[in-house]
Amino acid sequence: MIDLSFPTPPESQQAESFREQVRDFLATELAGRTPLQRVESWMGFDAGFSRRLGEQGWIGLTWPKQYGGSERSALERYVLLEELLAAGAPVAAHWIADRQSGPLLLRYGTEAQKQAILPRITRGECFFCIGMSEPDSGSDLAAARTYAEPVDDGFIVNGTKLWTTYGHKAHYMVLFCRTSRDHEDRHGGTSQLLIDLTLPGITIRPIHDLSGAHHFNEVVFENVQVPRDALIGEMGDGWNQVLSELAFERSGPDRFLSTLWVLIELIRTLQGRDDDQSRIAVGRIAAHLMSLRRLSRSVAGMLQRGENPTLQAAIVKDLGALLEQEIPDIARQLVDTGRADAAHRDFFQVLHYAVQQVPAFSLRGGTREILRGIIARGLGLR
Amino acid sequence: MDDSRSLLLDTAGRLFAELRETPDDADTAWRRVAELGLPLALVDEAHGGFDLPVADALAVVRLAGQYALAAPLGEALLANRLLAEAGADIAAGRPTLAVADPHSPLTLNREGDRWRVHGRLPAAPWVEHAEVVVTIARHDRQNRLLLLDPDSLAATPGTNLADQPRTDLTLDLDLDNHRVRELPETLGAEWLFESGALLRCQEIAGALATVLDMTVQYAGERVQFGKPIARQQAIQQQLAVLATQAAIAAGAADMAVDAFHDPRRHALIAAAKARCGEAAGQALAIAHQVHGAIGMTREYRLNLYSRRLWSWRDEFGSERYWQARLGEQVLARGADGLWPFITELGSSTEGARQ
Ligand SMILES: Cc1cc2nc3c(=O)[nH]c(=O)nc-3n(C[C@H](O)[C@H](O)[C@H](O)COP(=O)(O)OP(=O)(O)OC[C@H]3O[C@@H](n4cnc5c(N)ncnc54)[C@H](O)[C@@H]3O)c2cc1C
Repeated sequence: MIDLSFPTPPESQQAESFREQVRDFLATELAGRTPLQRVESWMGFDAGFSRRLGEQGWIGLTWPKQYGGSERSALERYVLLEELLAAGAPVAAHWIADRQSGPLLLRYGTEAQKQAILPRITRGECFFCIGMSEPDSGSDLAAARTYAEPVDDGFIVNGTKLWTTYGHKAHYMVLFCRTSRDHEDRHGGTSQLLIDLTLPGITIRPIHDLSGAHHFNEVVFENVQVPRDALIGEMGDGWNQVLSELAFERSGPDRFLSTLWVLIELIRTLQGRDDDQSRIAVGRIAAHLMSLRRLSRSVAGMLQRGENPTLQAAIVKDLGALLEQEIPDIARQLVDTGRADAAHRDFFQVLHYAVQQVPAFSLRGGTREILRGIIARGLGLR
Repeated sequence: MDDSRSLLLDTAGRLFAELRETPDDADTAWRRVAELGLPLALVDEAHGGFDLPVADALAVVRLAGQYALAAPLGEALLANRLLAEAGADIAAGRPTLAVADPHSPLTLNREGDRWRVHGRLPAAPWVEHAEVVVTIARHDRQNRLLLLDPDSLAATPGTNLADQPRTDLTLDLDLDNHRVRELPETLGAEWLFESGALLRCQEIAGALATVLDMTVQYAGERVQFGKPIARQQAIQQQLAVLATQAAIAAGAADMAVDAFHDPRRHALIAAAKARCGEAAGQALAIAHQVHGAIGMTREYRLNLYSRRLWSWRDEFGSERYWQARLGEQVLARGADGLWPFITELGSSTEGARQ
């Protein structure tokens, strides 16, 4: 039998009472934010909000206290994340550092890196971006060309990173690059560097997304001198490190709640309508959300126990992207979008925003095809 | 998994594997399953059962789905539980259950020193094979279990599309007092319908696990263009989607199982049955595509699963039915109630884990 089991998600009374605390905080913090601001979900950038979240001790929630963390459980973190997303909080400023770069440093960073960076992240003062993709390296991450040439006192970096989300507002980048000229060794010749984005030779250029918004960037490195102590983990271990980094970000609530605010505004628009079509469509989405949330919480439990649920995480992300992408389509089945009704202005704004974002949901963090390839490998097919 | 659970599942699994060789022989399956005492799995010790945790007892039902067991073990399990709850003798042999359409419940009245029951029980499973048919009606704010004698009922036999017996019963009869027993307040007709849906979720989850296994295996063996079709990326991607549907069905069924004692079980089982039903359809479309023409034959085993799955997704409430019920609750909570609704249902109550 192929084992696709998702163990019962752990329960925690503590996490549930924490939920109330988070809700109270967000109710005040986010009062007055419009639905359009809320649907931005984890793309909404607000450094002030991140700082105030940091004051609560809610960035790096699970990290050791010595690095500014709060040493709380992974389940409490899950609750925090889903409450932030469900409320439409502007989390983008600290999101990558909290979710991806910080945990990477905790796991592989040197003591000096941890002490210098992690406390600042937890205070909401230090933001990160991810330097993986390049012009000729998307899904095929191992094709990265950016080269950090090892020299006596460090590295000289040359190359171009692409699609770098909020690179223009970040303090640091975790750079995935080659550190060996041996191009035959696609995996072994790679490393990760902690890049201070103020270093000379780094140029960050905006790329506007199709809606005109600026979150993407192109980051060009021209003979950038990087000190030796910028190396994260082991020289030549970049590929393994990057894979573990990706696995951690594939199953969270951010993988199926991106269009929750479309659903919320849809429900508002449907109030007073008493028809089966609405009930069936809304009930179907709710059934999907409830089932998927259970799987996602189950993966959180596995991560908490130190297991490695690569297959399960890929399943959650694949199903999650489908759901996120489908919600605007379903909304369009229920509301005649050919007749924008001023009474439902919020709904239309949210919908129009979402329609322009949904193609990204099955691209970012590993495309649909790549994820399904991972699942196929889990099935023993490749 | 703890010992008693794995022992139970091992024993049951061995029997089901053996019975798989004669998929049409329901009588033998009934007998062998009863010999093992499996129909008592949901009954407590005081009534001759095993006192198993609900999740373990219901795991046997998933296993039955996984092996396409010819006997209606789930129905028997639930019927015996109700008999025990009502203080009646449990039917070691062959009990089954029947449910009224939730929109037209049975009417039960007192007439002299007897009872009179009236109404319809559509598509009642395995009535001709059963010693007793149980169902639930309500009278004077009291739930009551009705113990019906299959031979005394006006019955129109039929089958579902998987050839499993489904009989339409029309009730208009008098019942002696010993056939009408009090049930606790929580165990009403709606409870029975939900529990039936829960059984089907378990069976769907079990059957989809097998469908995934069979399809992955077949793709590895079938050679076209000089290599196994499983080596084609187009096929791999489809199999991955099949796996996601099997996984979500299992997760949804788990959610329903955990809700067995939960006062909010209605919404949880609604979501589970709606999701399992949808998963069944999507998974089967892929399984058949990957199998090609051989999957369309009566001889090849896939149809044993696909025809059951196509039936089970309809029974005890189709996707449409449960989506509407769930949607009604979500819409009643309003836009700002959506998220609290979802999170409340995701956290356990005291009762849910018994
Ligand atoms: C909103 C957003 C934010 C992003 N933020 C960042 C960021 O901060 N940092 C960063 O480094 N990157 C970021 N990315 C880039 C993202 O990681 C890439 O888009 C992704 O890895 C895919 O690469 P690509 O776009 O070059 O597409 P390609 O890899 O060129 O793929 C194009 C198509 O071909 C398919 N394909 C490719 N290879 C195969 C294969 N072997 N088999 C089958 N199909 C295949 C893909 O699935 C896809 O459908 C972001 C992307 C988006 C959309």
